[in-house]
Amino acid sequence: MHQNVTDLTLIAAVLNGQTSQYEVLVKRHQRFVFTLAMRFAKNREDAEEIAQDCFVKAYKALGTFKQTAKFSTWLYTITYTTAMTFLRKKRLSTVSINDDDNFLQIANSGTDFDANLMEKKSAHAFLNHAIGQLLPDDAAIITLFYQGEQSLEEIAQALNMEAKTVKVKLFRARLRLKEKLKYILKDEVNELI
Amino acid sequence: MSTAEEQLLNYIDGSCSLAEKMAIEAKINSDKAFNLLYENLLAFHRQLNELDLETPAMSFTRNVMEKVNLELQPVKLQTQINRQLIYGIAAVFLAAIAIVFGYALSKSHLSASFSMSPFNFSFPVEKYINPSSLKAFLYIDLVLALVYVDGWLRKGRINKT
Repeated sequence: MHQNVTDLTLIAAVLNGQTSQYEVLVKRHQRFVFTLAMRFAKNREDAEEIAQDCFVKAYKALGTFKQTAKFSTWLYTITYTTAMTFLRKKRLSTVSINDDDNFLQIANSGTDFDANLMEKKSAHAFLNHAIGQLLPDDAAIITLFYQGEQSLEEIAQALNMEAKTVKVKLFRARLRLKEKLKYILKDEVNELI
Repeated sequence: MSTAEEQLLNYIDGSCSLAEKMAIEAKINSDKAFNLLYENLLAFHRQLNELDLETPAMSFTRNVMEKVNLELQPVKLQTQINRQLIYGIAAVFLAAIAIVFGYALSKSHLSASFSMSPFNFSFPVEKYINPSSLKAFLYIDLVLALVYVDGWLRKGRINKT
C-alpha cells in the first residue's frame, strides 16, 4: 500500500502533522542506513545506535530538507556525519586483517543444503568481510555506489566531496577491495569473482 | 594504477564518453588479455551489485518511533521565516538610511562651482525629526534587533540538529 507513496509525499504528510507516516520512511530506508552504519561501527549494537540516531536527527531536521536532492541522499549525508562523529567519539582504530578476533565465520543457517545458494552466500559473506576491512570512507563509497544505488554526483553530495574525487576514490576503493579479497581467499579469489 | 582497469571500470560504470566507450569495446573484442580483465572486473562488479543489505533488529522501527514521538513535530522551514517580515525589515532600513541621508544633506552647506538648481535640499526636516519620532525610530530599531537575534538563535538551533 505504501510502496507507491513517494518519499516526498510522506515528508509532506509528516510536516503537516501526520507524524506516524515517518514510520513508513523509516521502514523503507532502515536496511540501507543500517548497512551503511555497519561499515563504520563493525558491530550490530553500535550500528543500530548510529542508525537510530540518524533517523531521529533526520526527523528533527525534516523541515530543513530542501527537495533539490533525493531524500535518500540527504539521509545518507546524515548517516555519514553521524557515523563519523560516532567513530571520533569511540576512537575506533582500523582493525588489522591479521587480527585473530576478526576471523570470518560463515554461519550455516539452513538445514537444507543447497550448494549454489551456499556458494553465493559464502561469496557475499567474503565480500562483506573484505568491505569491512576497508577504511570507513572506502567502505562507505562502495556501499553507497553498489547497495545504495547512488550516482557519483549523489555520493559527492552525501560525502561533501567533488564528483571527480568520488570517482577516483571509488576506483581506488575497488582496487583495495580486490587486494583484500586476494589476501583473504588467496587463489580462490578467481573462483569467487 | 592500471590504466586498463580504470578504463574498464569506467566503462562498466557507464561513466566514460561515447568515443571512449567505442574504443574500449573495440579493444575488448580484439585484445584477449583485455577481454579477460574485462570479464574479471564485470564479475566483481556483479557480485558487488548482488550484495544483500543488512537487516536491523525487529524492534528497530519501534525504537526509532518511540524516540521520535518524544521530539517536537518538525515544521517546514518556509513557515518559520515570513518573507513579508524580511521585506518589511529591508524597507524600514532603507527608509532610515534615506532619512538620515536627506537630513545630512539638508544640514550640510555644499558649495560647488556647478549649479545644483535641479535639487532642492530645503526639506523641513525639523518638522519630522523631533524627540518623539527619534524615540519611535529607536524603538523600531530595538524590535528589529530582537527579531534578528531571535532568527540567529533559531538558525543556531537548526544547525545543531
